[in-house]
Amino acid sequence: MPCDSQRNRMNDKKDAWDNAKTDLETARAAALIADAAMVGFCEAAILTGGTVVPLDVACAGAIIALAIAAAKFEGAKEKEKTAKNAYNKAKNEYDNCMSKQKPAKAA
Amino acid sequence: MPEIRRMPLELFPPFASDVPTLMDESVTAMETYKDHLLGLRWHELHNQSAILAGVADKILRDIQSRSDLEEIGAKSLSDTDSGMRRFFSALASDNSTEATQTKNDLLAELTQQLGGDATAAQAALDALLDSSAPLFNRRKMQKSSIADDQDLLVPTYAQLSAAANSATVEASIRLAYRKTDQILPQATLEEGDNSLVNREIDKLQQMHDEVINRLYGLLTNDTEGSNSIGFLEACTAEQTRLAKILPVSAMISGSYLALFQRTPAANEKSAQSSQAVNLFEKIERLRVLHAYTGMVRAEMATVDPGRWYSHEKNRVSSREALTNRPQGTPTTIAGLSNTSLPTGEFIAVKGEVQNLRIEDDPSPPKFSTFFDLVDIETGEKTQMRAHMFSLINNGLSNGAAAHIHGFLRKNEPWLTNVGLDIDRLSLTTLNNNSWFDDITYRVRRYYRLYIDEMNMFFTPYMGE
Repeated sequence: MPCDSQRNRMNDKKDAWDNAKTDLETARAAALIADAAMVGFCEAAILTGGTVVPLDVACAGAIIALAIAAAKFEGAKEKEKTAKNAYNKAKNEYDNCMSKQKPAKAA
Repeated sequence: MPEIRRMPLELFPPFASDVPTLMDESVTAMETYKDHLLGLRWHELHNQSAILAGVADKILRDIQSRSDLEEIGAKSLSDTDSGMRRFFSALASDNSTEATQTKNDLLAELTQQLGGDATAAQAALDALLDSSAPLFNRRKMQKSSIADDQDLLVPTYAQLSAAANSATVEASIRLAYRKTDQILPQATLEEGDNSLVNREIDKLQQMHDEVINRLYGLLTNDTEGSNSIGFLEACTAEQTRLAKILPVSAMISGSYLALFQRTPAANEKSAQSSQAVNLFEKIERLRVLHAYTGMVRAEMATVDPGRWYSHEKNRVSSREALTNRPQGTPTTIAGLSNTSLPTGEFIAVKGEVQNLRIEDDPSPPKFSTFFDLVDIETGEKTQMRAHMFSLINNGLSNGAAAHIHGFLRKNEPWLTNVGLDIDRLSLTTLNNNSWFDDITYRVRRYYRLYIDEMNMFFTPYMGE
């Protein structure tokens, strides 16, 4: 198959992206679950009104858990984006090579 | 109890089939397609079209579903982001006893959840109090994450959609060619065949002009930027129309070529040869438009179609609609020997390819493609060169009919008399002034109109 070197490079970058994506989806799931918990424990006055009221323990814990999960999601997202961009670049080079192939008489 | 809009839908199917899996499916489908195309397996290639279309459809639906999902969660995420920002901003500026107790409670909770790291906990609390923490940008991060995935899925859909069409077209040409040989082994071109092909060429040219004028017109006339839906609907309709018509035109072209190659040389053969190339050129130009409409459908399904549409509108403001491809002065092959024509004159010639070969080209030391272009009626020939490129790899073959634009050469080491250096187009220059040339350049990953930017069209290789 033509374009073997481009294909191999694309596959290498794909492996790295797969790993980063797995980490991102784990972080996304944790953030979503933390968000659901925060909505459950905290009053609307805090969530959307922004009123400063004493926080009960459960609400404080839920906000902090979400804050940490959001930070982890952001970090995982940046790493995943870097790996995805590297894969995309390698795939573009592979696609460009393959797009030039036309039915032709064998050499 | 969490509200429905807070349900983590991203964790459930179909989103559990994530983007890397879709990319793997698309790469596998494309590689099988290429394998059949380059292996000249026409029935298998035709069958692969359905698989490519299926994966393309799956990807388009994924793009649309992710955009819908983002919209569902957008308001509640934005409201929470804003509420949290207001809460912590108020807390930061509040030095009351209660507020201080709240800050201490939050710091204690942070310290515990960060495994006792007091420094990290203080830094995290500071980020919350100065509004720099990611907690306040969750809507933006969610949308950005989906958009990043769609940046990969959009060109993948465009590639698969164009490939599905290509699989059908390329297979239909050869299958019709072979079927014609099988069913009509003695037949040659009749007047009715020539009339049919002429009508087909006119029809395709009309369709080409209609599609370009329609899409270019929609972009140009939408001064308010409020007709993105109309533009999408037009592209969707034209993609369907092109996908319906092109395989039939491909079959006509393959069948015509089979009869043409058996038709003895006669007065009309040169015109028939030219019409064969014309028909293939029309089909190839429409394939560019098909690839573009696919790209539009995918772009307009993303989370921020308005921004893409706005950029798309800007692209027509400085461009004319139709191609500005440079075309040489039409000259017969016999006329090339006219000594009044200067070296470097830009010429357009037509003929049949013979003596096609790759040879060492000493100046500079690279391989180049050389062939003779023969006038079918008179037998006059001229020498052609594609400097430092292999046109055989591009599908050119002996016996192909070709229309070529190039520069007249005399007294070169590779010439016995006069010849032409085939022109190479500068797509990055052409795309500045022409909307069609711009989209030709932009969809080249999905469908390449000018391989190696050669300024020529020719009848394709049919296989053995």
